[in-house]
Amino acid sequence: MVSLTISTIAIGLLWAVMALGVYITYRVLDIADLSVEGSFPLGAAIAASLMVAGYGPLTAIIAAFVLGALAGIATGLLHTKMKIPALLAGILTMIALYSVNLRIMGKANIPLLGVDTTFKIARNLTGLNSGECTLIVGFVVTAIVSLFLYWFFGTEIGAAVRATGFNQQMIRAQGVNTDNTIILGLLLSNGLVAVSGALVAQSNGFADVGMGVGTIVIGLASVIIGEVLFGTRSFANCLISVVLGSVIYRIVIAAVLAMGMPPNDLKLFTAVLVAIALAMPLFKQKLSSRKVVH
Amino acid sequence: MLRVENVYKTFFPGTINEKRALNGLSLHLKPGDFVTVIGGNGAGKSTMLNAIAGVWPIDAGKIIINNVDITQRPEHQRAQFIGRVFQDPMLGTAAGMTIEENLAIASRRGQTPGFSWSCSSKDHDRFFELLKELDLGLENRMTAKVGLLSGGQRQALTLLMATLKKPELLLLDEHTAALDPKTASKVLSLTEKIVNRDKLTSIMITHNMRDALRYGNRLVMLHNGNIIIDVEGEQKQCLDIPDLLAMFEKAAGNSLDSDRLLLG
Ligand SMILES: Nc1ncnc2c1ncn2[C@@H]1O[C@H](COP(=O)(O)OP(=O)(O)OP(=O)(O)O)[C@@H](O)[C@H]1O
Ligand SMILES: [Mg+2]
Repeated sequence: MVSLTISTIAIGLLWAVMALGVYITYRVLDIADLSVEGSFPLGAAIAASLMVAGYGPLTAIIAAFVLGALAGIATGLLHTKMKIPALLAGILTMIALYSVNLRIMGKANIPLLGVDTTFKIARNLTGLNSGECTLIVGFVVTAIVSLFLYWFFGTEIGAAVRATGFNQQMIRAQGVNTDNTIILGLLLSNGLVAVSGALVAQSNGFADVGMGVGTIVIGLASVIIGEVLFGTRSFANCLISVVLGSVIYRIVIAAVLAMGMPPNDLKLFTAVLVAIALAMPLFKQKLSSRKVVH
Repeated sequence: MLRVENVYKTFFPGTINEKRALNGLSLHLKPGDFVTVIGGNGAGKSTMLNAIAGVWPIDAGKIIINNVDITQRPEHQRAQFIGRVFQDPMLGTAAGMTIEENLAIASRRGQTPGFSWSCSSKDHDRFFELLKELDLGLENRMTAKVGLLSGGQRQALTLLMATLKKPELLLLDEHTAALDPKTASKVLSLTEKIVNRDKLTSIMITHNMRDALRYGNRLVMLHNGNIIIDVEGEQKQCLDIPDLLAMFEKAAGNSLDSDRLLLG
């Protein structure tokens, strides 16, 4: 039970990197970006292919970030330069990436048996079990990513990206090219999502072309759960909330599975969860307006 | 200083909704001019400011600031010259960011953002003093999100942001229209104070004739996308509202639809 909990938390941390990526688009830029459904398996695909070819995990993760970033730039260009609505631009990238991912992998699934993944290396170094290693790696990576994001969004450029999400008119009037800030945000977001994909593939022991299905919904679930439970007082608080949200999401999933829910129903369960969470403000409003009437 | 030369702008050209909003409009400003702009609904006042600010490209004409032809430049590249306050108090600030963060962004208007920390402690003290001058108590709420402020507070803050880094040109589009009369007059006198202190070349749209006469050294009236009245200096000082209405009738050939032009 304890080891199950540890590995659940560990998996939550690996996915938290993806949730932080979704946070950048969904909350900071105020865009629902579906490209992540393609950039998550993209990261897995490139990482698995490179590692099977003998490259080290660090190279694989860096390559995942770079390719994910390129996917984000593609969505950004479609949206800003070709004026395609963000949602549609994301869908186009997502669909295109499906073919790209198959090209990279050459087949639909790459097993990582016998490959020196980040986790295997950590296990050999520390002598800890696999759940504990995943936890340590997950913690280190999430901490680095969170600290980086905290720093980045505190800089002048980061502040401009955040302002773009709140009010494009305002930040343009301050001399910032909002096309660039939007592209930058999408780049960063999809880069992180791909890194998460690379990590999850290593932890699962395989990359699969279908592993991106539902990424956006899982990301949203993590963001919303985190915000509701852990608050949004400051930017640092938001980042921590998202990470914890991802962990809680995994614990909830593990719990409902343990209670006997068929794994095939997971996506449906997650979608319903997110739909309810998204509708929360409306429910609250309805409830309070009813109170006023009576 | 500012030269708007023969500018045309038509919205939805070639469609049933075609609307010629600027019709060969020209306006020359001398350094330090404070121009108030009046005109009926749809006269093209906002369109004139948007053309100067570069919100969209114009169809024909030229816009020149300090001998730099900025006609072809996109909006964000004009920001180094221009500070703006909008009619809608929501538009000038980023609601989800703090007062300090908003000011920090505005203090770099027109500069390419870099990787330095956005809010420096050096700026903090300066912002504190400037906010204190507004006399709205905002200096003690620098870490509060701007979304929590009232409309008047937001407009005062936007005004401060637009002038924090001295602009060549200040554009004010009915920036007090959404405020209650008392707050509006406070923001207006603040505007006058800053404009005079920094000797800012400014264009202020208002639908209040009395304000248009009271503030600034020059007054223009727009009608159908063109300037039909342009008075300055002593001539402006001697005007009163009936004079203006009579001038309008003479220039436009009909009486002023003064629905939104407040006479009082
Ligand atoms: N972005 C736009 N798209 C389409 N039409 C526009 C746009 N902006 C202005 N117009 C049209 O151009 C004309 C001039 O509008 P403008 O906003 O400049 O008027 P205004 O003088 O500011 O009036 P008001 O006192 O109502 O603010 C109007 O007919 C308006 O409908
Ligand atoms: Mg207007």
